[in-house]
Amino acid sequence: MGKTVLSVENLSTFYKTDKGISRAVENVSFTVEEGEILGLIGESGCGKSTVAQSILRLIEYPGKVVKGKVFLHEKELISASEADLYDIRWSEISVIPQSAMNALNPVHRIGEQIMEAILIHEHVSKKEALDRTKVLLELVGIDRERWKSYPHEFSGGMKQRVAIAMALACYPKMIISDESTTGLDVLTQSQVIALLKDLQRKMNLSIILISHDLPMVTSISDKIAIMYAGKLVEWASTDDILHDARHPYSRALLDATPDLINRDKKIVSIPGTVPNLVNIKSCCRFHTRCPFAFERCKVEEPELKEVKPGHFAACFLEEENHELTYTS
Amino acid sequence: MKSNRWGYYWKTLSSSKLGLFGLSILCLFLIIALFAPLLAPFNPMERVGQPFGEPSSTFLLGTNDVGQDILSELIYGSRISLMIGVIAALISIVLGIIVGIVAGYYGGKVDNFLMRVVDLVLVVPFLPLMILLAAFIGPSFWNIILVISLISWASPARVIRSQVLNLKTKGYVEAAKSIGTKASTIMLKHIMPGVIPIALSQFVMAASSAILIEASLSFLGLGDPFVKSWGTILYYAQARGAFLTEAWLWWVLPPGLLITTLVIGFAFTGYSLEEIMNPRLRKER
Amino acid sequence: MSLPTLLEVVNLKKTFVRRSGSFLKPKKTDVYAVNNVSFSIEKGEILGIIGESGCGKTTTVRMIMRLMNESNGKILFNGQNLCGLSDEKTTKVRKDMQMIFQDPYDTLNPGMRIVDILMEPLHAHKPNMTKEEKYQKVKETTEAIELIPAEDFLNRFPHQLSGGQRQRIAIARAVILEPSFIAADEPTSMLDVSVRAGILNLLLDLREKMGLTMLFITHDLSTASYMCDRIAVMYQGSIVEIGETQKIIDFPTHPYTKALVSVVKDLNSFIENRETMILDGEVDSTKKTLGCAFVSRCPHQEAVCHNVVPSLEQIDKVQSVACHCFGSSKMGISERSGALV
Repeated sequence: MGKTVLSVENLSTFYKTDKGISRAVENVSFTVEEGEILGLIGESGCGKSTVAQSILRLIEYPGKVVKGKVFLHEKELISASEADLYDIRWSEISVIPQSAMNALNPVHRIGEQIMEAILIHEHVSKKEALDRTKVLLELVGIDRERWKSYPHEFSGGMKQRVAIAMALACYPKMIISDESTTGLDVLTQSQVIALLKDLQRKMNLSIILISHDLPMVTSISDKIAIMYAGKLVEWASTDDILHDARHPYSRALLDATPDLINRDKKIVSIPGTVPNLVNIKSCCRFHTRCPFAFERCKVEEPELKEVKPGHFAACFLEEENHELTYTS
Repeated sequence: MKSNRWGYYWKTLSSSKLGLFGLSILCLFLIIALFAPLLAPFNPMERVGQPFGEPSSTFLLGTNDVGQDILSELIYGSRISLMIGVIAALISIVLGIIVGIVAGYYGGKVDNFLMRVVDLVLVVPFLPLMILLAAFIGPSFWNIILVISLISWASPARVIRSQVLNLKTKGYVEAAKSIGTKASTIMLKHIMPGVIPIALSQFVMAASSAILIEASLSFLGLGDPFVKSWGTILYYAQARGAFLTEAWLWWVLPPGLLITTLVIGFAFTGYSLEEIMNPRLRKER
Repeated sequence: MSLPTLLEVVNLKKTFVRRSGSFLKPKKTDVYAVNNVSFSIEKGEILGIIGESGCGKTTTVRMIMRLMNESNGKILFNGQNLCGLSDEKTTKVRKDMQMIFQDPYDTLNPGMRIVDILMEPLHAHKPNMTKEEKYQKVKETTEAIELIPAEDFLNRFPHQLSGGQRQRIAIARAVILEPSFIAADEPTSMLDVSVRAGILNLLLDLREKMGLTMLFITHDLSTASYMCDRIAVMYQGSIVEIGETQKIIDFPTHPYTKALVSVVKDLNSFIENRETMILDGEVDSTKKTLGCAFVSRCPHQEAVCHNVVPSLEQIDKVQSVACHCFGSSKMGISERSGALV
C-alpha cells in the first residue's frame, strides 16, 4: 500500500436552480494513492466533472461545495485560502482539460504558453523555463524544437499532448484528466492513454481519469470509482469491478458494454432514466431503475461501506445479504 | 412549448426598458389612430375656421391655409402614417421572407441571382429612384406603398437568407429531405418557423423606415394629395410659407415631432426585439 | 448463403476542391473525400463501415442517401442506379431507404410534436391514407420502438424526451414507411452506455421483424462487432479491408485494421494484457501520396507502397484487403490471431 496523495471525504456540491437545490454531488469519498490511476466513471450528468472541479475549488455560482473535505498531502483544500490554492494548482495538482483546443491560446507559441505556466508558479529564469519546456515536450512525445509552433500547426492528438505537457509544467504529484481523450480518434486515443500510463510510471504520478468510457478506463486504471446521479456507488480495484461488482448499477454498466471476444454476449440496457437531482429526497438514487430494489431502497440512502478489503459499495443488498439474482 | 416561447419573448421584452418604452409609444399611436373620430375635435377635411388661424381655445394648434383644424389633421394623419408603415412593411417582409428562404434553401445559381438583385436594390440611391418612380406612376396611396415596398424588401431578404443558411444545416431539415418531404413543405414547415422571430424584428424596423420614407415623399409633394398624412401636412406648411413665419411652431413642429416619436417607437421596439431574437437563436443552435 | 444484392456501390468517388495559393496565383487541388469505394449489401444483412472521423464514412452514406451528389460512380439500389436520377424518382426511392442520424437532439424539429414528426413520412409518401389510418400507423410504430403507451409520447415535444427516447423516435420515423433499407450514421455515439444497448438491441430486433437491410456507420469496433454481419474498414476515403465480422476481428490483415483491433478497449483488455499496436502519427489529408494512403504510418512499408495505390483484392471467400504487403514474408499473420489459431 502506497502513501495516500489525495483523500476526498464526504464531498457534497449543490447547485442552486430555479426549482430548488440540485444535489449534484453528495457524500462522495475516496482516496488516491501515490502512483495510482483511479478511473472515475459515470454517465453524462452523474457529477464526475463536478467532483473534479470541487477538488480544485473551481465551482462557480450557482454551485457551491456545501460539505466535505479534500486533503492533498495533509493540506485541506476546501477551507484553504485563494492564495494557497493558487500555489497548489499546477505545482501539486493540475488538470488536463476536456478540450485541448480551448486550453491553448491560438495566438501564442505553445512553448511560450508552457513557459508562462512555469514562470508564474516558480521563481526560475526564462532560460530554465524554456529548457524545462523542451524537456516536457519530449516527455509527451513532441520534438523539442517544436516549442516555436502555434497551436493551429498541431493536429488534435498533438494538441492534447501539449495540454498534457502544460499540466505537467510544474511537476505536480497528481493530475486530473477530465474526459481528455473524448472526441479523439480511436488510434489517437490509444496513443494518449499509452502516454498517460507511461508518465505515471516514469514520474510516479497519481492520476484521476474521468470518463464515461468504461472499457477504456479499465484498460489502464488500478482502481475504479463508479458514480451514479451524484453518488459514488462503488469503488474498488479494477479487477474487482470487472469480476465481483457488487452494486447493481455497476453490473448493469458491465452488461451494457459489448464484448469483442465474447461476441454472443447479449448487451442489456438499463430501463428508465436518471432521476432529477433537484430536491431529491433520501433514497437510493438507483432504486427506480434497479431490478433488485425493495422497500428500504425507496426511503433510505445507502452509505458507501467496505464489503471486503479495499472494495466499497453503497447498496443495501450487501447488508441484507441478498443475492444479486434476477427474480422474475 | 409554443405558448411558452411567446411567453418567454414577452418576459424578455418587458424586461427591456427600451422595448417597453417603444411598445407603449406604438400602443399610444394605435389608440389615437383607432379612435381618431372620437379624439379629433373637427373633421379634418372641413373648413371650420379662418385660414392661417393662430392657436386658440377652439383650435388648439391653429388652422391651415384653408381653415382646417391642424390638430384634427394630425390625429387623422396618424391613421395614414401607421397604415402606410404597416402595410408597406408587411409587403416587404413577405417578399423578403420568400426571397430569403428560396435563395438560402436552394443555394447555388438561384441564390447567386437573387442576391445580386438584392445587392442592386440595396445600392441604388433610393431617394432619387423613389422620386422618379412616384412621379412616374403618379401619386396615390397604393402607389406610395408599392414604391416603399419595392425598395425595402432587400435588406430583410438578406438577413433572412443568412438565418436560412443556418437552419438548413440543422439535422431535422436534413432528416426531412432524406424522408422525401417536398422542398416546399420543408421550407414551410421546418424553415419558416425558425425565420419568423427574425422576420418580426425586421418587420418593425421596416415599418419605421416606411413611415419615414412616406413622410419624405409626401413632403416633396409626391404623396397622395387627397390623403392627409403628416408628410402632406408638412408639404402644405412648406408650400404656404409656414416655415418662414412663426406658424412653424404649430404647423411644422407638431407633425415633425409626431413622425420622430412614431419612428422612435418602432425603432426601440425593433432593437429590443432583435436583442431577444438573436441570443435566442444562438442558444438554439 | 448467397442472397440477392440490395445495394451495390461501384467506384464511388467524391472530390472537394481545395483552394490555395495566392490571390494572383490561385491553386486548385482535388481532395478525395471518398475514393473508389465499392461494396455491396445483401438483403437482410447489416454491413458496418468503421473508420476515424473524416475518413469519408459519413460522406459515403450521404451520397447513398442522395443528400449529396457523387463526383463519380454508381449506386445501384434494387438494380436501379440512383446517380443522376430525377428529383421525382429519387423521392419515390426514398420511401424504400431511410436514414437514422447521429444527433438525436438535432434531428427532431423542436417546434413539432412527436405525432407530427412521425406523420411527416406518411404525408410525403402515403397521400391516400386517411388521417385515422395515419394516426393508427404512428401509434403502432411508436409501440414497436418500445415507447409504450404511445399516447404518452405522441403529444410531447422533443425537448420533453430523453436522448434515448428521441433516438427511438428518430428510428420510428425511419421505419414507419416499412423501408427495406436503413442507413444509420453513428446512431449511438451521443448516447450514454446504459441507453446505447437498448438502441442497438432495438435495431437488431427491427431487422428480425421487418427484414431490414442496414448500413451501420460507427467509429467503435466493439459496437460494430455487436451489430454487423460484415465490416468495411475505411481509411482516408478508401476501403482498406472488408469482410465478415468474425474474420476482421480475429484475422485482420490490413495493418490499419490490425492496429484498430489491437487498441480496441473492451472489458477484457485489462485482463488479457493484450499486445497493443500503437501507430505513430495521425491522419493527414493534406499530404498527397501517389501510393497507399496509409503508407506514412504503416510499419511494413515497401517501395511499391509509395508509388502504387493498392486495390481491394479478395483473399478468401469472405474477406478482401487493399494492401501490397499481404502475403509478403514481412507481415505474416497478426500476433493475436496467431494465438487463436
